Amino acid sequence: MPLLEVRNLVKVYDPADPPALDGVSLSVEKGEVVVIIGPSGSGKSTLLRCVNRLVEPTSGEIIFKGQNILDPEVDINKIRQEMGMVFQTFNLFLHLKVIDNIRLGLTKVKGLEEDEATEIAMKMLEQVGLADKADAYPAELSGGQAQRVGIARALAMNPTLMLFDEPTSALDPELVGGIISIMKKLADQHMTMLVVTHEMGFAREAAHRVVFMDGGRIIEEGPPKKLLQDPKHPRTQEFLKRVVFKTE
Amino acid sequence: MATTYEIYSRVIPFMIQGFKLTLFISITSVSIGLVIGLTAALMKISKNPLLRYPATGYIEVFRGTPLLVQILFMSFAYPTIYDVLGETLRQMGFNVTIASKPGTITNPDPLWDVIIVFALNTGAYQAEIFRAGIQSIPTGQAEAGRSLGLTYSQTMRYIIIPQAFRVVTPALAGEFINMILNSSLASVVAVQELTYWTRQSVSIYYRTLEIWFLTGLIYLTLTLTLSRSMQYFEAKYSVPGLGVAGTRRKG
Repeated sequence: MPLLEVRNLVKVYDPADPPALDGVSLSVEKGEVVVIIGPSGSGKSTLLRCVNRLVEPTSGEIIFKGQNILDPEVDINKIRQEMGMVFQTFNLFLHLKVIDNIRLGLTKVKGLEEDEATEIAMKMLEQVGLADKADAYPAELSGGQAQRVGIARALAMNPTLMLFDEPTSALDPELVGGIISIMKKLADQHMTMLVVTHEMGFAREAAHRVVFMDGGRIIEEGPPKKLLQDPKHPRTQEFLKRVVFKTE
Repeated sequence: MATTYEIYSRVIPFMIQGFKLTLFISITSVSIGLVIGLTAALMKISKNPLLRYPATGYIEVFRGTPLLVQILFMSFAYPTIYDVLGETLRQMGFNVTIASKPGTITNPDPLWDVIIVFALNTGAYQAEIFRAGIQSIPTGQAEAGRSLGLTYSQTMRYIIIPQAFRVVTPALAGEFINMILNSSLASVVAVQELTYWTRQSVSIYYRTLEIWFLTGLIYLTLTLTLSRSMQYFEAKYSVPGLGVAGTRRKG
């Protein structure tokens, strides 16, 4: 049984516009790294945000650990504890120090004691190499540092699934590498990851499967080597032709 | 003719008494108004129309009519309000003796009537200040909170409201100052605060200029103290990148 299964998902923001998601089905196995690519407006971010219901789907099913999380009976806050999310714009809590950004979820959601939360938070900060920034405020960090805190904050909750919403798109080019290497390390540790990104290098090296989306639909999916180098669908071919490859 | 010194030595004890009541009215109204304001703001941004519409109606009424009219209305509506309130409570089974004094047209002791009106009035203005503050916080902040598994109210309490407070401190300080100055309107229904005693003193001693000057000075001292202490708190709780104080960064 897949860890996550999305069935025939539809999202309509405005009835006057074409649907943002037009019947998307996708499954993610435990330990799998799935990368979603596609032009802007293709619905890839909407799909990711539907998975933890930051965006409410119009119809369809999302099965996580065998449970349909769109069921009104489901406590979505419980589900979200198991899904870490990393945002394009980091979204660190501006009024809290770095360490408190990580501790908030641990104390208020998981109900851990203060010192236990501090211990976990410090361990997470060490993992992303920012233990010395524990007492800094988010506005005092560089973009790359802020995103590493964003990842640490999500990982501290010990999630089963990590959602990445264009984690490197707001970063200066020289800072992208640091985030990508943290994500690769996570993939090596068999974290289940659903990643929306434009980083084709990451897709090629770390993904088990790449999904190409356009116009609210999945056009094509497959192993990175196959999809990125020998795409079947003309839309995929056209998109990939326009993306600059990092050929190292 | 009495010297200015003599006049001041006679009126100052009354002024102090009035000043104390002005302070009491202001602090009480602003504190109640803070609770009302924050509640009304949260109701107004709610998706639930049963919360949103009453809050909107309340804010529009109290911001859309003059404070003086509200005070006089409350004052002259006193017998009706008290009789109806008392009767309603008794019918609900409460053993209370709320009623207007027979034959009165206004409340002979209107202090709490006035405080309620002030609290409702400043609450409406504070509600709009808080609403603007809350809505100025980027949606990503709430999304990040919810994605960790925090509930809507936890997200409000631990993430949005602490940030919104820092954003609105200057506007809130302005509203507090307004409230202090507006409390002088209580004198029209004979609440014995600073302006009331000023008018009384003027009508006894006929030394208009000196007495009103003294009163102005007292209000000014009060508001200056308040705005300085708000600036102090603003600086004390400022964090980089948030609110007005937060943008003044060193280095």
